[in-house]
Amino acid sequence: MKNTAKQLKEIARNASIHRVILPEKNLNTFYQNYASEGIVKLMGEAEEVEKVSTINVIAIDEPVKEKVVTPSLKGLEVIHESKLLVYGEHNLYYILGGIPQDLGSLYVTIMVEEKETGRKERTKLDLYEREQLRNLAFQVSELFSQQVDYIENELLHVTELLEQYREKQLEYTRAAYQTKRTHASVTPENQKKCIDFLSQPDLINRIDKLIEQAGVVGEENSRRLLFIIASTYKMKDPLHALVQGSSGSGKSHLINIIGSCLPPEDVMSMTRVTSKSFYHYNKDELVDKLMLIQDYDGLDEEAQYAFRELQSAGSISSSTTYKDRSGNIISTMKLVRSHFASLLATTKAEVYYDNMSRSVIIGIDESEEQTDRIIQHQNQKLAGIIDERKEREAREFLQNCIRCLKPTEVVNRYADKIRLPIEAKMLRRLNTHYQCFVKQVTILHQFQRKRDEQGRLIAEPEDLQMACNILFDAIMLKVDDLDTSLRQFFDRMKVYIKGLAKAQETSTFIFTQRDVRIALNVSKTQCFRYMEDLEQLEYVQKTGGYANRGFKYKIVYWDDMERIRERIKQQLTEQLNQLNGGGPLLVGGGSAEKEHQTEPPANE
Amino acid sequence: MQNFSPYPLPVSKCVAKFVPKSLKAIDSMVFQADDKLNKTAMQTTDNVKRLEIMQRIHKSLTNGIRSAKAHTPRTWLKNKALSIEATGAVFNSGQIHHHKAQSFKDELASVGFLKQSNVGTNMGQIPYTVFGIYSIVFPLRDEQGRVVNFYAIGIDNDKTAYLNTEGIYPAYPHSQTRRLYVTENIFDAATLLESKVLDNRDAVISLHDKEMLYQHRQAIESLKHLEEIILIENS
Repeated sequence: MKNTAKQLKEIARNASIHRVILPEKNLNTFYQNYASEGIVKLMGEAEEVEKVSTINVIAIDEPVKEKVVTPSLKGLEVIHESKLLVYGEHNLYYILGGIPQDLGSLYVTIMVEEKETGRKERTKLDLYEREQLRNLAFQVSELFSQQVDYIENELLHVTELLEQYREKQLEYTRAAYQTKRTHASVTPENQKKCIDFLSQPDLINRIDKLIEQAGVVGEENSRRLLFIIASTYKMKDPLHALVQGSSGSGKSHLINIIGSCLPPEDVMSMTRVTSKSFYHYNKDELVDKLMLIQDYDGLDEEAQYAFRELQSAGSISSSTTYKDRSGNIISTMKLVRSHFASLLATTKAEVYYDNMSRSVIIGIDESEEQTDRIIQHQNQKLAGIIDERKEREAREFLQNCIRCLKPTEVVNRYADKIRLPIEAKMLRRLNTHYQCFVKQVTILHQFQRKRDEQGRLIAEPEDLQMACNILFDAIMLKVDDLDTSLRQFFDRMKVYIKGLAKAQETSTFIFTQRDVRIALNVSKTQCFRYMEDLEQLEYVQKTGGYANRGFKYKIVYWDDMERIRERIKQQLTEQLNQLNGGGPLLVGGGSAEKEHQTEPPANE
Repeated sequence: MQNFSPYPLPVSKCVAKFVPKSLKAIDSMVFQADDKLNKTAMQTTDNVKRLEIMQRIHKSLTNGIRSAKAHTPRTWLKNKALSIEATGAVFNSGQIHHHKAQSFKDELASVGFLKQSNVGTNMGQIPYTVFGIYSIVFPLRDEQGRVVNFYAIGIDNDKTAYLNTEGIYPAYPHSQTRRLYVTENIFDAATLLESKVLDNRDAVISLHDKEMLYQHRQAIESLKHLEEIILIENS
């Protein structure tokens, strides 16, 4: 018998092997003397025959197990959602497929399997029909040579269990519909740390450092702007940002990281939105949330419309019909309230003209320097120089800080002292954005600012200055005809063409798409699209050539964005200086002082 | 318990009976192990017929224990505290072939249930010896749950015998089995079944008189959820 244990071990490697040596002549005499309890005890005392050592296989990328909520019941095993198993004494009863949700019937497909032989009998019946049940019992007893009343009893037991299972299932589904809002709590120590941090001077720059630590490379201005916009989600006036950049420039990456710096219980990240899904949220499900949509182009017309309404009207209502129990069609109004901030990413901002006014447009930095920085970051990460734990820490700390911020009212005494450049498009909305932004900057400084007698925070000129600095690029985008990618392309092209013209000492230089494509290292399609846009906006003109052999172009409008930038900046700084009584201001938020990286150096 | 064999041949060689001639010729070359040969034989048409015969025998033996006259075997089982339902025990009175046509007797002989004897009769008929006469019989089943073998325990003399080497008692364990009890002989397995200590995902199988054969190995190997094996040994 020692041999047997050895053999068993070879066959069943994963099982542990135990051995019982009977104290009596055979098991039968033992059973007669000590009955079942004796056997159970005896089996419990089984000794393990040499432990089987198992090698732990480390699974790389273990699949994420979706948590399926299935009610559990004693005696009923849920193999999977549409296969239930009840153990009888001699038979196994499988319930295949679903159970009707109508409590009036229990029409199921049942498979009876004899334990010993594995013979199966399948049938469909309503377990509430006594006659059918009795027939099945009779049939099975004939087939398996078992007693009729025995099987009938077991079938009744199955019915009982299924009834309970169905009740539980109903409860669960009902509970699933009631979405609960999760709240995270911050421990007192963490709270203290966060408040200490938020009370420090030069806060915006400190936050910026944390964001950098969390994994955003470059984009100094955009990341501050995005973070501040994202942090407005539970304040009185939430803001929306639309990140625009060509494909593969890291738009989604940017908003994902910014999103990860905010409390995850309030962030809704949506890659795809179906047309009517916004209408079917629970009433308050979209309140105080931050929405991330990585590909706004992926939303269809209807979803976009709903989204716009949610952004500006604060609620959407739909009149729909539903069928009641007796089949009557009844109309209802369904209302979804909304109060959220959003970060959207798209490749073509121009298409969403309606959306542009509602959102702060942010361009992705597509310069070569930025590419270098990203590559360096990626390599450093791979080389293990960048500590991922630090990234996580920074994120968690920022999350806690946001949790500590309380939505408060803000009064801005200087609101009427600032006038945004008249050149900007959609100035009315832009102005509200600016004012909201100032408010948010004040709210971020809520542990440092004074409050008036009503408990409202008072905005300082400093806040206006910071807001202006951070928002400046976004304001400039509104002034500019071209969107960011196109602007960056055009500026680079201008420098290139200017250089060539100088070399050949002609005033107008005629070029082909290929020249530009090769010089600027842009793909053919991309280049073609840019040129088409520029032509439509009358920045370049076709001067000759043929469709099949390539057209020749020349630049007809050498705009000077840099100069306009300087002028507007001058205006704004003057206004801000006046607030402060003429003296120069402390620059709190500022990397805007720095030259815009993609701007060519001033020529002429 | 002592072993008695109804055959002059050793049990393991009985199998060769069911191998078609063509296969027999190549078995020594191709099939090394007996049990593999066994498996090949199962697929032949002869085997289908054989299974039918086995089923008929089983039915007849089932009637045997349910019969009103089968007082002795039922008492025997009662004394051992075993029930018919739980253990699948049946009774062989040894009269299965009485008053039956010769063709039926031939069929029984073909599966080895009957064996011609050299005892003379005065009726001019062929005398037969029945496998496991007057005994409690336990059926052994194959993977599909069909009866392929019998194990007999004599009521009067406690002798035991197998008809052949196939099958597992009480059946191949269910594929969901987590804990498997392995007993040395069928009688212990039957007792364990009767005792109702088996939980939902437990199963029991009996070895072939302490011996582990191909089918046992195969059955255990096929259990994917197996966590524990409990070996029950007689002292």
